[in-house]
Amino acid sequence: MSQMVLGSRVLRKEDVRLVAGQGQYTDDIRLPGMLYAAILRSPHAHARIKQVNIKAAQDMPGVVKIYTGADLQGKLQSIPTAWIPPESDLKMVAHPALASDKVRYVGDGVAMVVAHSRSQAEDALEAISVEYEPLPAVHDQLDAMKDGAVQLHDDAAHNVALHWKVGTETDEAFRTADVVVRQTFRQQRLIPNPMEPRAAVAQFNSATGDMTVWATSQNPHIHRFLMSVVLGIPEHKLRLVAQDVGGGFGSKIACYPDEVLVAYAARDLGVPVKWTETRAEHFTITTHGRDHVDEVELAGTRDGRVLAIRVKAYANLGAYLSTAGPGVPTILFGLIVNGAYDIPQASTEVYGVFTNTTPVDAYRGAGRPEATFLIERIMDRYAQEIGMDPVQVRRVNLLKKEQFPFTNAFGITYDSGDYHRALDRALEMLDYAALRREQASLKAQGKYIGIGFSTYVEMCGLGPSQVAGAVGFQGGLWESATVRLHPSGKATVLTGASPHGQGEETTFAQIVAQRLGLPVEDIDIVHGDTDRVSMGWGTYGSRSTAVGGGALAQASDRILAKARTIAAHMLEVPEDAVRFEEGKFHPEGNATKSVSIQDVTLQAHLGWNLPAGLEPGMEASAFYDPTNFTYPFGTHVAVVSVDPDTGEVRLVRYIAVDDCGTVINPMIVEGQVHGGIVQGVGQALYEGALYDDAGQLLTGSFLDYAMPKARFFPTIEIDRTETPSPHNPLGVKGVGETGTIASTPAVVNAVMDALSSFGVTDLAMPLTPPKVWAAIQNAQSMKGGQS
Amino acid sequence: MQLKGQKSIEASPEVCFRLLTDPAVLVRTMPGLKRMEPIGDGTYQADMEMGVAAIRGRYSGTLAMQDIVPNTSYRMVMDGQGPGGFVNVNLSVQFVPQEASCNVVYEGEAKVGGTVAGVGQRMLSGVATFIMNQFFGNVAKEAREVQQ
Repeated sequence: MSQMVLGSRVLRKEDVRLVAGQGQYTDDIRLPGMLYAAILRSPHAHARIKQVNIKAAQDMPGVVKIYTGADLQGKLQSIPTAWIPPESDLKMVAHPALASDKVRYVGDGVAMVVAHSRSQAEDALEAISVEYEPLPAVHDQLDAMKDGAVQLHDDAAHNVALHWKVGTETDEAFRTADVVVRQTFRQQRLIPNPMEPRAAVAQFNSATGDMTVWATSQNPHIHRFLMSVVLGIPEHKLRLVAQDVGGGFGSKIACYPDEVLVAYAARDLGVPVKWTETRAEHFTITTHGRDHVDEVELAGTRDGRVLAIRVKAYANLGAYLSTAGPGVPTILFGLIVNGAYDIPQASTEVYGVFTNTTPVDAYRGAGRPEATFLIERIMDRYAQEIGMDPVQVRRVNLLKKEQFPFTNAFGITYDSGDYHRALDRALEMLDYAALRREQASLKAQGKYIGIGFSTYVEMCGLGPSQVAGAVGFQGGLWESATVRLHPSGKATVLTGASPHGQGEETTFAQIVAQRLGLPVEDIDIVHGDTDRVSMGWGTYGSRSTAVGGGALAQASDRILAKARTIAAHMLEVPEDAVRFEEGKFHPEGNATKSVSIQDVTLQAHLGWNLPAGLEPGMEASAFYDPTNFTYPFGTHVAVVSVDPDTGEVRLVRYIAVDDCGTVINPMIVEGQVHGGIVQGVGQALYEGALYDDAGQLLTGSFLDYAMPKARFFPTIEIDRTETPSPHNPLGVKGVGETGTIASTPAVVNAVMDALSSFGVTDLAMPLTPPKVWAAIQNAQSMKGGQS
Repeated sequence: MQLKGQKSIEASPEVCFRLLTDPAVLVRTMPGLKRMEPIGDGTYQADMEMGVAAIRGRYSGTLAMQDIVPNTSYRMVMDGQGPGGFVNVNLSVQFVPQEASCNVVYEGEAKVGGTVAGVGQRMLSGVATFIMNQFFGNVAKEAREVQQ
């Protein structure tokens, strides 16, 4: 057992079971007598339901029961949102689990069949006939706000779900500035695609009233909390289990109608019921991400100093408010649009808009990718405008080391950082000057490469509960941990964070191992079960290690304090004369006489000879509430080539220098950075959800929606700087979202750098070959026309 | 999705019109059309089996012939619902006499919704053209048989 377990590349403990097919995903649950549910979904984006005829379906083989929206009226509460941004006039519209009068997006549930097999349930769906009266549909947020646009909800005029403003006065700066740059950016809708689609299984014990729901959740306690309200089952009678979850990226935060319906049916029928999403369903019903139109204005001086930034954002929220939906484009976006720069004046105004589309919620980065994209893009536009190198304009405006802690124009305080150091390191890895020379010589040969920067900062490690309350999040954001040492000295550790692919069964074990001197293999991490873990707020917003890890550190320290007291008693020396090294206590200056933490733990359990007044047992819990968010930062650089004949963009090099504070496991950090970058590049170059004018999703499969593939990427060049967070016990900051946040603008800036030769300054993502090719053709024909 | 095309059939407009309004002929010639039962007013209860990309299934609904001008033109309106969503077709068909044949000209639009709209929409107009060609090819064959 090395003292250096923290910071070492411990292989992922969870992979042993996951790669051997021994994981326990929700769809792996098979209970005796279990029935299967399938849900009939609206093929119309907007329609009145005139009639639902289930007669023929009821007689189909294996059908046990069919529920329609009318059957459930008054029996279930509305599917709620859990984020009510203050002073945003949020319209809390009803979201029934099954629609009974009106459907509002393709995929809205209309009826549920419960049958003896999945195929019987799906066959019966075909026999249900629904008479719809189609209504006009609107899928674009700007169209939805126009006079005369079709209204989705009676109580949301112009389909405006929320209107929220934050920041300082900026008019004066814009009136007097030398340079004002204006640009509207569209940040297209994305469809999160974790490897595991969603699923839910519910079992009800009518004798005790206990309900157990296994579900694909990033936050089982939040699910329990919300489902308890919707179903009317008290929390002590409702157990949520999410043992293994195959990725979420934000799409498994929300409480959806589906898991509520399954639980309802299980209670109604008295037998377990399972529902598993198909991939086709996933595309249409599981929350989407992004979908902003951002009007951005930057005021600055001729010599590169930014004076003010002003943002007006139109965020598409979809047909209903998802669990975190209203918070993503407001709080998680609007407070950090100044990015990593010292910009004295800044303001954000956000409209959240209902449309006939799938509800929008968090997607890896959630609000911060959108903020980072617009600031990093407008910085490049500004640099172009004043004829300055994009690196130089960043150097002028990046916060300096001595400015931390730094409070931005929106009142949030960046905890720590050394932004220039990360930039310097990236430039060194890039060999920037040489690359610019190469770019010029290639251009002379008719070949185009581009270099794009993103000197990002993000706000994560969500977060102080007091702030959660102030920004309208309907929950706490602290985290719980229990460290339980068994008589043998092996440990069971419970965490309220609910990892679902991030490797925290390993990193959390490392945290405890480091503090208690235990072997990593002697520590099991338990998560994702509300009956085993008392409380927790889940995994999102890169919070698990910063907040959940903080709780683990505190609980471990409490264990250690008690162990030290017992060790001193056993060693017959005063407590302050006891040293703890490599899992052993010994009197100061005498390493030969020692007791191990395992010896001490056994004595604590036996209780035969404990110091007077000390309780037996060896277990400690902690509830850690951070005092601030964490602010990871770094510099990402993309080098792309653009083929002017085909419009194809190829990523040639990608450099990422990230600072996520103290690193617990470099291998896992690198994995997070790789995955994040790939997802961010997906937005820049490949992905995009499209709807037609009738509100039909046109990109409903992997045939039609391009996910990034491994072969699209060069080897990602990674380095790190390490600026520990000053306010949490581990000094960690979070790394789950940095790659996604940083990479999208780096790549788009690189493509625009390559296209600057043609006079193209902006293109809407994704930068697909036809779009890039058309822009080049268009630019050349305009040039031709002028000459 | 716009549908537009024409097919020259070596038969008189009268023969073509008769074939293209005869439910028995339509069931034989229209790929996937399994059944047409009259329910009055030129409207039929119809079942179709269709597959586009991975979305295959049985659609049932109505097929109506409207605005009939004998031997000259009519409008075919189809509304079908199936597991992959819905398909609505509204097609005007004209019979233009040629020297020794008839030019059948069709124009209209098809709307699809639900899962079927989200999968392979890019391929859909190609598929529609393919189906229409197959259909008119079959009708031309029937016309030859009728005239033999």
